Amino acid sequence: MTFTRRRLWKNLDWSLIVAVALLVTFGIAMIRSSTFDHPNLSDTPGKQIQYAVAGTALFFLVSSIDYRYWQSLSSVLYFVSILLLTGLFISGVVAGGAQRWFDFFGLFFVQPSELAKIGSIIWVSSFFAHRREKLYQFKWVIVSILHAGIPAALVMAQPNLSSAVMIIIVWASILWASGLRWQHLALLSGTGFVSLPVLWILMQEYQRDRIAHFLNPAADPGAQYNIRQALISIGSGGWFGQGYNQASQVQLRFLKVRHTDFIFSATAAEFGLVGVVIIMILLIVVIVRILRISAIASDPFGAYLCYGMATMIFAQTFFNIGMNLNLLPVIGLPLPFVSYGGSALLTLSIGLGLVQSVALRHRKYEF
Amino acid sequence: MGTFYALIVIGIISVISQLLRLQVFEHLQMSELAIENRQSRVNEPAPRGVIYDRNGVTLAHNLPTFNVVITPAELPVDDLRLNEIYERISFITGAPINTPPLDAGNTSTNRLGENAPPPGIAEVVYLQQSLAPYEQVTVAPNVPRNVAMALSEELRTLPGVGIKVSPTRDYPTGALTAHVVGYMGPITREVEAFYLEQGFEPSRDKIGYAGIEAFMQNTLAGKNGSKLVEHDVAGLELRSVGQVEPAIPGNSLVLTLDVRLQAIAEGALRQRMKQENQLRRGQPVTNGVVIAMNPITGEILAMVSLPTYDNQQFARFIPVEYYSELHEHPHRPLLNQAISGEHPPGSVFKLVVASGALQEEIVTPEQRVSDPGEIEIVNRYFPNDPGKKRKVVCWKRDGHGLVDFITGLAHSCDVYFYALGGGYDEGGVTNGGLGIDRVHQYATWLGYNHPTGIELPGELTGLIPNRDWKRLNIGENWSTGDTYIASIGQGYVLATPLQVLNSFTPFMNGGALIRPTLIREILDGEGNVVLPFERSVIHQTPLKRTVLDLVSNGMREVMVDGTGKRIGKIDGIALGGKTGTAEYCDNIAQQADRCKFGSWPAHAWFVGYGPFEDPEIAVVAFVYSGEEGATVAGPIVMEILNAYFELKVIEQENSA
Repeated sequence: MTFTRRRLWKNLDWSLIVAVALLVTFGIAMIRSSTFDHPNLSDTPGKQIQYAVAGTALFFLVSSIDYRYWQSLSSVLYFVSILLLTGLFISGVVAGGAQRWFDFFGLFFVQPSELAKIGSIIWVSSFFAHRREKLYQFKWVIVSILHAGIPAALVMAQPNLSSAVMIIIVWASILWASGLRWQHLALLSGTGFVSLPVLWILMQEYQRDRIAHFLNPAADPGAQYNIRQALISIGSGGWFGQGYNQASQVQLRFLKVRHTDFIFSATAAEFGLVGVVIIMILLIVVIVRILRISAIASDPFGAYLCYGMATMIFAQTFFNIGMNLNLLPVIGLPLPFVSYGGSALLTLSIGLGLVQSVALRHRKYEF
Repeated sequence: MGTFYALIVIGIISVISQLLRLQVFEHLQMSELAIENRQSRVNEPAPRGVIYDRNGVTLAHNLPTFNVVITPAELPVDDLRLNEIYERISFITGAPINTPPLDAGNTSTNRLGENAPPPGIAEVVYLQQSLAPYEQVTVAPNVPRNVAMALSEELRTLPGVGIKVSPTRDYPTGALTAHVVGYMGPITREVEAFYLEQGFEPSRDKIGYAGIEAFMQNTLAGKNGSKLVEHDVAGLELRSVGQVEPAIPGNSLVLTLDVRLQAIAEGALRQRMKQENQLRRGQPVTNGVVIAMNPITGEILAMVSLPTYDNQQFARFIPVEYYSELHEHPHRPLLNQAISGEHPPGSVFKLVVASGALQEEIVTPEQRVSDPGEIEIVNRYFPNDPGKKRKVVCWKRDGHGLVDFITGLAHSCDVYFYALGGGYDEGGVTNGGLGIDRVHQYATWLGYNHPTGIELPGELTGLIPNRDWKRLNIGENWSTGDTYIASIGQGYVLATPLQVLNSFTPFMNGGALIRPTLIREILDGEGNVVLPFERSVIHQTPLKRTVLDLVSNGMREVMVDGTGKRIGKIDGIALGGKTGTAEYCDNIAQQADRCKFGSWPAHAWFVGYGPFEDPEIAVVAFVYSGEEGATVAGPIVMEILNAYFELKVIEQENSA
């Protein structure tokens, strides 16, 4: 037993762990710089350290559990998630205009939509792993849409556009990875295009505003303040930045939500182009390593799990940086591993734990 | 897998290209925007100079006004506690917590263009909270000192509340010196650009609108300082960047004015005008001027123009109702008649013709000219047409008989001056007289037809007509009759009281026309003299010594045995003077149907000075529609001369 365990941990993907550790450490440093001397936020770096410690524990716990257990539990997970998301409408705590939080006896808040992201990776992977052979039938594609669409719709109704988008992207990526036929893709994208107006109607007012502002920034200069400050912050950083704890845009608080959504801009201001490129390289290392694990996974479920996880990290990274650079609308997604936020960090830790679990149990001929 | 990597590459390319654009190509631009974000220029007000009279009495200075201010960022968050603070401020200062509806409140106390009642404390703070929470905002402006004191004792229990002291112009002598000192007002949009360039802050700084405040604006204002400060997003000042330009306080002015004499002059004029208005009906005495000056140095000792206004009421802001009342008043109290009132000078103008005729040897001093009381002027274009003859009269209808130079001046004999000015063959002046061209020339030498250059805005030039002027403005040729009328300072001739007074100075200065001045000294912020007094001469007239002496002797004779004989005497001090009664016909007289021969209204003029041998003070009094120079204007001048010499004695006793 001791032997097996030692052999098990030998397959740990160290480059993935080191890259993530560097990102989280750097994130904590940037959170400190962003909230330095702030009367209400000065305890955020400490909190983020606590989340990182908790996340590490979760990561090792989840890694040690064989990921295939989750496949067998995926139906249970699915229904529990649906229940929790529905329950939010009844007893959720309203924060920032949305019912996103569960208050567990005042001890801690849980954001079911964050759990739903991880859950979606598991149950979508499981769904496709089971029906890989039948996907040439279009009806199963439709079933998968309903399967992923119900929780996505519940999340969106909270309203939490970004998490809903994430669930849909995870579903789409795994659908793609499991061999979607060309004809089906054409059919799907055609229908999707036609249904865009319907989606627009279903969206909340502020979500529509965000997209409208992105498409026409001159319409409301006041609402564009944050993004303009982000661009000034990034631009003023230049090649090497103004130095840690030195950027005027960050320290004098012209840049808003600089420890969460706009931490990329804060980094660009203090460490310049060189700094953000290093961050981006680390994130790419993380994504590429997860894709590699997906490629060597011993079963389709493991491969899909990793593929979904890589997609989620990539999508969040791209949406966040794109938002910082005014390439995409402001949809409020944090930069993975770097932005402040307990739920997000813990979710990522669980996800990485799943990925490592796949890595540890891949079929490797090692003697 | 391949698709995924392709997506990653697309993502990297789009992100890197945008990063290069922002951080490399637009880096300088973005850095500048970042600097603009955090730096702003703060304008530090320069204290305005003080205005004193010659003895150090304050005429204009800066007084603290107390404003209750709130820094929204320092207020407690708790609504209940916040309301307690608002209620306390409201209770002590009377400022409303919530803005009263538009129709409430008395609009008469509002500033120009602000017809709404002042906004409530809560609204003001709420607005500031979203604009600049770290900057103070005034919630109760201009509270009385005792209210400010009462509130300041409670400041410890009122976080975020403060009392800001800001300077306001104050005029302790008010209406007495309003025409000289003037008042201040806001920088209007029309001149905003000009003052902005000079470092003023149009929303805060005021500029001189009238009097010395306006004329000496540049000297009094000083130079605002400025500094570049770095602030955070909420407007909290963190530090100043680079060179701090300190504010340079404005220079103070010591005026030549003596408020004691000013008060006496004002009292004498006011009293006389009141008396005259009580004594008679018909044409009212509506305005009057008294100016006293040192004829040697040009220092103005007193300058009174009635009616006047109270500049103290303009100290904090210009109240609409009071201002429009003044502005629309038919007697124009905002106008300084001493420099902006143009009136026919009458007989005080005879000095011009007297000195010109002697200088040009039109007559000898001993030559006697006969004055039958009225003479006829032959129209020079129709010498044989009796119908074109014009009759002119002396003020003394039965004539002065045979008149020499001294008698002519002393008794202000009109016919004598007609003869000197326009020739009078039957009277013995056969050379055609001085003629209008030379009258014009001598008048100009005595300072008429030009502003004196005193340090006050709005000075007028008066009018000395000549041939060209009449042709251009009336469309007629100049006639001998015109020369006659001009020779006694009537007809088209107009002058300001200050010009009249100043025209006497060459006879006390050896022929030099002095420049009247209100500025004695200019002091810097610490009270050191920056610019000491310096006598300034407008020009040297070409008048010969004998001419100057003869005219002076004539003016002495006025007081001894002439038109000014009954005005009075001062023991031990010989006086000189000249009376003037100038008939006029303006729109007011026309309405009263007075512009008829024999019933024209007249202005009263008198200029007196002393001591005759070594003049120290010369005074002019002008009373609009005063009818008689000797009896109405003369006593006013006498009162001031008396007071001047009495004050001098008291001062000598005090210093001894």
